[in-house]
Amino acid sequence: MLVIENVTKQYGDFIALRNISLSLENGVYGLLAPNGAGKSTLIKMLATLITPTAGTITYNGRDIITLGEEYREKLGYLPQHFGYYRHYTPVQYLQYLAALKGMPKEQAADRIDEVLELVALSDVKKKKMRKFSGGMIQRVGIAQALLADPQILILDEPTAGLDPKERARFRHILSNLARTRIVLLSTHIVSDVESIANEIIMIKNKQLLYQKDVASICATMSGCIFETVVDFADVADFAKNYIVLAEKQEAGRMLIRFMAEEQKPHWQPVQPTLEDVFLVEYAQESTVG
Amino acid sequence: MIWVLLVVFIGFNSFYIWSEAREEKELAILNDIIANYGKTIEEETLEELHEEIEQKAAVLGSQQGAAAYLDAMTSEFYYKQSEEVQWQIDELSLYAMYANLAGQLKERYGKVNMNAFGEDIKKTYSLSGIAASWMDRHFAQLEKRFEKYMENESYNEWFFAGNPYRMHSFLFRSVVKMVALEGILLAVLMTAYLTAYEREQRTHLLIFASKMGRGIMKKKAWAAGMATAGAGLLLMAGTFAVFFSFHDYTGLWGVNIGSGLNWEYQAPYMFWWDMPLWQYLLLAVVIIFISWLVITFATFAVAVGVQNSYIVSITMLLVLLALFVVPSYLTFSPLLMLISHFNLMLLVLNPHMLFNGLSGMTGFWYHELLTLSIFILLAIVMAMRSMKRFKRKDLHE
Repeated sequence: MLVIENVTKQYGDFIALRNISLSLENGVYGLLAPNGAGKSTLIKMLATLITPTAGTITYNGRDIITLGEEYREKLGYLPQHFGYYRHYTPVQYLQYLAALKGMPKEQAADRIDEVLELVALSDVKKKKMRKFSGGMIQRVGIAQALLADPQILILDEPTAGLDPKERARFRHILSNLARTRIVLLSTHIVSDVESIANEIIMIKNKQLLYQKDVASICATMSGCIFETVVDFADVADFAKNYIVLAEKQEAGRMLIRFMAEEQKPHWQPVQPTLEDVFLVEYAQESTVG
Repeated sequence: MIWVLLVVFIGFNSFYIWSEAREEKELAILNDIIANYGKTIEEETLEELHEEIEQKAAVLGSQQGAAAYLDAMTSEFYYKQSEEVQWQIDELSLYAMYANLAGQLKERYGKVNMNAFGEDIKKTYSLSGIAASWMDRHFAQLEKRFEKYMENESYNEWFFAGNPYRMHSFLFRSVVKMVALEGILLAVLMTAYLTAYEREQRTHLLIFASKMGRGIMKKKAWAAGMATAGAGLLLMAGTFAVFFSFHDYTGLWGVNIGSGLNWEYQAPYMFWWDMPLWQYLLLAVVIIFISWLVITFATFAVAVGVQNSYIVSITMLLVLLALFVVPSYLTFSPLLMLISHFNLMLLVLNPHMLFNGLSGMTGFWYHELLTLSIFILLAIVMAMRSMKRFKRKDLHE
């Protein structure tokens, strides 16, 4: 079990994360927050790249910094932005990383084939990576995170650059893996985690907002999400009074999905989704990372 | 890229050696002398050499002896002779030069006044106080060494004539110094590149979160050391191979580097102990290698913190340049100037002056050992401190 207890990260006067407490067991956790909310800070702390200013992170009761290699050998990590060696093939790249992950050479060779198959890169495994598209590079990144069959898999914005088919394939891989390990998936794309996450972790104002399953989080907005149809001319005024979640043109008028505290006539109550909660909670925050 | 630079350096050194090479046939004469008369200059053998010179003069048709024959030589007469005879005249002249130089050594060294050298240095650097007393102690020590040198007649060994050939300066001051400088450049560039490699390729977050994690930096330190040693070895081997293929040192390896014939400029070389040429060359090479490694680990220490190979390379090269230049700007404080001469760059860029008591502010007994020890310690402390800081450092994109 991975336990984060009262963790704060501070850079001088700037607080990146404040008093975060979480506990993670086997399963998929979706870390959902807009860019700049502190997701990457939390993830880097879990990857031992940065140390908390206060609080502790323990794995099976022991501090992860103290565990050092023992912890990192159980860790598969995909950073939001990662580099690669342009003149390497995926096989060479993964061989190097396998060595750093402490994998024996023979075992690594078989495993490299397996993970490249998993991310559908077998046919280009001996091609130089400088010719790869962004999506292919991202898949190599996912492959390296899975390489050492980690017990803790931490993925920071893993679906960036993947097309819908690859995203679906990736979600399937993660669901399978999460049966026997901790998978923490950081994203600001709700659909990436909505269907597969056992729990969603949301951070707001540098603090933990939720660590709950999707249904419980959606229930917090129950009775507050509506749809209605307004004239185009009234859309701007409507948006000033309510948090607009979605707009769609319909029969010469605008169908609006929005959040309000109380129901009014002609408003149709609808079932809140995770995306609704996300949009409402972060309505005041910039999404520019 | 480093390979290209290494090849360019060896090529440049080879060209330089070729363009500055001394006449092979002339240098070979000393090897003949050593082969025939031994490496030590003795009265008996010197007498035999004089007899051989007279015989050579007789072969050339001289009636009044070699000295008179050479005194009477004119360029008009010389150029009228066949090439073979011209070479015989050259050979006679060179034999006579060596014999004369050898015969004058005792007298020449008898005029050496160590105290005068000491006073001269104090005056040149305006030394006073502690620095002046330090220099006095140094010259008192050097005087004893000189007495022993004279007592043992250590000057009485054959060596390439300091004037005109200046082979010691050519080999150590020009060639070895050039190699030392090139090695420094290679060491700094390779170390900065290796240490900052992951960061510059932006793979650092993956690498430092892997099992090996930040421990990879320790391996990088060793890799940088090995790369420096390997490149340095190739650079030295390539350059020396060319140098010694142009200059035959066969008979000279066992000759005392402090030979009186190796007196090139105003002051003689007064090495702290009698050592054969091979030992001097080996020590110079070892000192340069250690200096390269010290610079490697210092560069590593900076690169671990800075993680940008361009900034690290430029910073290190500027610091090393400053280290070399700064002592000459410390004239306002004799003590500071004295301390600043325990300086790795002065050591590595003056390989012709190693262990030489008459090398000004760097001539102190144990100067080399002390300087190297200080800088080795400094590099180790720097590298360890920066590794310790790096272990706790937050790593961002």
